[in-house]
Amino acid sequence: MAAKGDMLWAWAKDGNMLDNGECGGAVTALLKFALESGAVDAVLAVKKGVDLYDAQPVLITKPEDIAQCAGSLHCGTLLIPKIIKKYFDGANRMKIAVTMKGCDAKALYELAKRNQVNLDNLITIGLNCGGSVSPIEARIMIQEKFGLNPDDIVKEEIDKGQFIVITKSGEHKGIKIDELEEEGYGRRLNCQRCKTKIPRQCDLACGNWGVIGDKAGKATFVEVCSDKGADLVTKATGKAIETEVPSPAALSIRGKVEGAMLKLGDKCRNAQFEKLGDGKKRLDYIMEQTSRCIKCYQCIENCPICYCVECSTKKPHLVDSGAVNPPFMFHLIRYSHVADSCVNCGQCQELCAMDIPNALFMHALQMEMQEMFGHEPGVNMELPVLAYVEESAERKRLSDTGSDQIFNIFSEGA
Amino acid sequence: MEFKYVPTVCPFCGTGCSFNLVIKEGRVVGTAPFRRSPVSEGKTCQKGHFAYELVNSPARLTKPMIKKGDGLVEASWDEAIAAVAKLGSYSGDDVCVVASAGATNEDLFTVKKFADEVLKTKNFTTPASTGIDASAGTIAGLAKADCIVAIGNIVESHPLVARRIANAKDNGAKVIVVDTFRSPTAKMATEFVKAVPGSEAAAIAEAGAFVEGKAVAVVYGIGVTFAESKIAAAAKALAESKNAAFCALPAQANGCGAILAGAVTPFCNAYSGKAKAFFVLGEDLGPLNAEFAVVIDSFLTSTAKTADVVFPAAVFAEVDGTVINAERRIQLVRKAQEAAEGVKPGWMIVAEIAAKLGGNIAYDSAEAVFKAAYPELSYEAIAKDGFLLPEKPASVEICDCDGCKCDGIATVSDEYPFALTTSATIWHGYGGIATLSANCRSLMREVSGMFVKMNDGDAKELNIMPTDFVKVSTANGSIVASVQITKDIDRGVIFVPTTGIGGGCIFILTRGAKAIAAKIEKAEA
Repeated sequence: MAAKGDMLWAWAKDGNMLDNGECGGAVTALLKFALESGAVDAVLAVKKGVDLYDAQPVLITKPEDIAQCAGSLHCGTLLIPKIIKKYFDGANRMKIAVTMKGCDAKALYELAKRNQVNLDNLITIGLNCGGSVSPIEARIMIQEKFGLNPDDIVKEEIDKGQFIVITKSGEHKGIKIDELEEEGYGRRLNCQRCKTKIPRQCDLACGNWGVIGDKAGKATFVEVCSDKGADLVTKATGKAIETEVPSPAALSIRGKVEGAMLKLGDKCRNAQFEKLGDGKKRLDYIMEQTSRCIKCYQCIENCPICYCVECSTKKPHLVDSGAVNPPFMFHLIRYSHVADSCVNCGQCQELCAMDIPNALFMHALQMEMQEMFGHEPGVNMELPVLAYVEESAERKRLSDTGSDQIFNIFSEGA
Repeated sequence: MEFKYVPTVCPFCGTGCSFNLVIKEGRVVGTAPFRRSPVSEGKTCQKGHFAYELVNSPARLTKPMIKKGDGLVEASWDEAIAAVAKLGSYSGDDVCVVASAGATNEDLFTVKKFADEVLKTKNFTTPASTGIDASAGTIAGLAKADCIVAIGNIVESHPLVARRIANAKDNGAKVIVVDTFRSPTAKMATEFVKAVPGSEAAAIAEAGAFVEGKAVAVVYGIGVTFAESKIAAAAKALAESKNAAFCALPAQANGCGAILAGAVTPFCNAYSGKAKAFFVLGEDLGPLNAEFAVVIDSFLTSTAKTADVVFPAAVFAEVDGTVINAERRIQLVRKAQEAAEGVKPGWMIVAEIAAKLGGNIAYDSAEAVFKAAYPELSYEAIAKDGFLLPEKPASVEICDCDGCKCDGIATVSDEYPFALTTSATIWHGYGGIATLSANCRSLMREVSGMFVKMNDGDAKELNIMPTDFVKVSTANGSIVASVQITKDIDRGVIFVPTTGIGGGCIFILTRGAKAIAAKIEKAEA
């Protein structure tokens, strides 16, 4: 019987999955078990597209197809929850088991808060994530820094602070991520700032950190984060997976890896936010950078917080239809609507047609709001502060007092 | 439930961005970023993002049509094929073959063979047949230039090329922009050289004074006017004098492919009035006044409405094929959904028409056409990063027809006091490309008809408000347009986009001129 809070090593019972799956194939085995046992109707995961630099979502309904999604892809920078909302009716009509990295898990919670996805119909398998690299950036890095032909790479991984590639002739080459990132290569800037390395918002959080000794590389470290996760592990144990209790040393190592990653995250945050400056200098920089916006709408289309059918940026009385460059109001609307809940998934920046550092701006704003209101987005189902505003009561208060402070945030030491 | 991503190339401009088409239950339901794109890394402009909306537009043609009396009526394929027989009686200069330069290489190669072997005419043209062939360097490589001369409003004509200009600027490059108004591109400039409408070539020469650096690039966004080759010639001269790479970006998605397919007859020929019969694939030339016209298109364009026979063609998402972008990269267009029954790829329709007229240009598959055109390549070989064709020296040929020869300066008068300048809008393309954007509801929601940009002082003087509609007139004709009042345009200058949308069209005003004298009056909506 597994329970919430349990830590265990797990590996696939099936010999093929054990050998070919990542870290003993436990995740693959759990997904397949969820499908076979009828716990879910489908598995939504990520598979290789045109090559290992191209991650595509895949919906699997037949257990025998599960092998398609085995393996981690560090160039997989897509955001799964918005796909669930857009194309699977927010999991309202089907039960889905889904793999998620930290930003996915946080995005999922924010969509759930807005009633855009149904958490009850989802089993979420979290995958530890030290960060991802945009595909073309990765290819350039492998060419320029590793001196290798990116088409010769058969596997890439991030381990012990290194980005490691393996060529088809079996050559391993690793370079320290610090070194790569100092030169402008490496993980996406939002990944560098990320501090959700073990996605404990999911039902299970899985990864290779803390798997040591003869199980190293042959088992997955699983942290059971919910009753739903415990139920899946309990039912799958002995049928789809085998488990073992990790030693205290293993727990300690896992803690140290996570701790080091979080420390690095803080360092990157400080460095990146510092460059933004503050006060008017920051505003000037934001206005200067956003002035080249072409209104491609990719920031909105790919943002996990944006879900409004009637988006304010499309209202002609707020933003002139068809005007390019759009007025700064376009960006102000985004900041005011998104900033309290930004999960730093990076999509608005990675997909910006004009390379505006949108995620950096939004994340910086979010951090300031978090400091002010104490609300941390993406970690649980708690609503952002503005969600508690009773509009009619607020309007009455404004009318009665003559105040222009829409939500009285600065009184009573809120 | 079937759910998959199919990467493909954007059908709009010559940049060659890619996106994934999202397929659910066999139908295109959206786009998603294709981050593996060697050109755009998952990014697209609004046209690319919303391109999926045209695929299953209710306006799609699904049956052939034949002219009966004054109108077109639906017909069977057999009837439509039988009705093209009359086309066989035209050849040489009597017939003009026009294709969109957004069509695939497979379509263009087949049309070229059709023109050569069946109609026996050299009159094969596309909007990319401007005499300009210049594609040095790569789009990504622009980010590493230390000095860029950008000619025209590239932010709106080729947004993901403009991204690279922005990258270069962020890296410290000098960005010199030549344009007729303070366009989004001009606003990115470190040096802005404002051109008098119609005298762009002179402004380009002037811009030369600012050029400095070791890695200089001259980039020109080709439009669709008679002046394109003259402007390109000035740009080429500047590039040569400064030892710079010169890249002229085709307006339509397969402009480079169109030239390679042999569509070298100047596009102005289509408007010369000499041809008695027309064979048109995917392009909108406006209403035709021809003895006989056959049109292959996915939508009932203004050209199709005046045709004798119309065949329903598959759209980009329904065909396998290839296109070549501005940097000479051949990329794969992938079939993502089945076309409706009776809707076929262009090359297949051309082959069926050819068979009726006694020719034989039938192929088993799109790839078979491709291999006939590019024997050393295969679809598999270009599936990931495409294939970069080797660089060749830039060439610019200036056509000597009356329209192309004229000096192009707008001579204003008391009657026509404004100099009208025209270039791309980001929301819509020209001709066959406007047909596509006009069927994307999200693009139409932003810009659903012709508009004019004018100076706020001029607007005040004419008592024109932002919500007004105006009548814009030239000696050629007039259109009704909405107004964008701005300080970005000089007094005495007005801007009308090079497009045809919502019934109006730039061609009514300009007849292909890049600048022309015009007047503005308040109009009833």
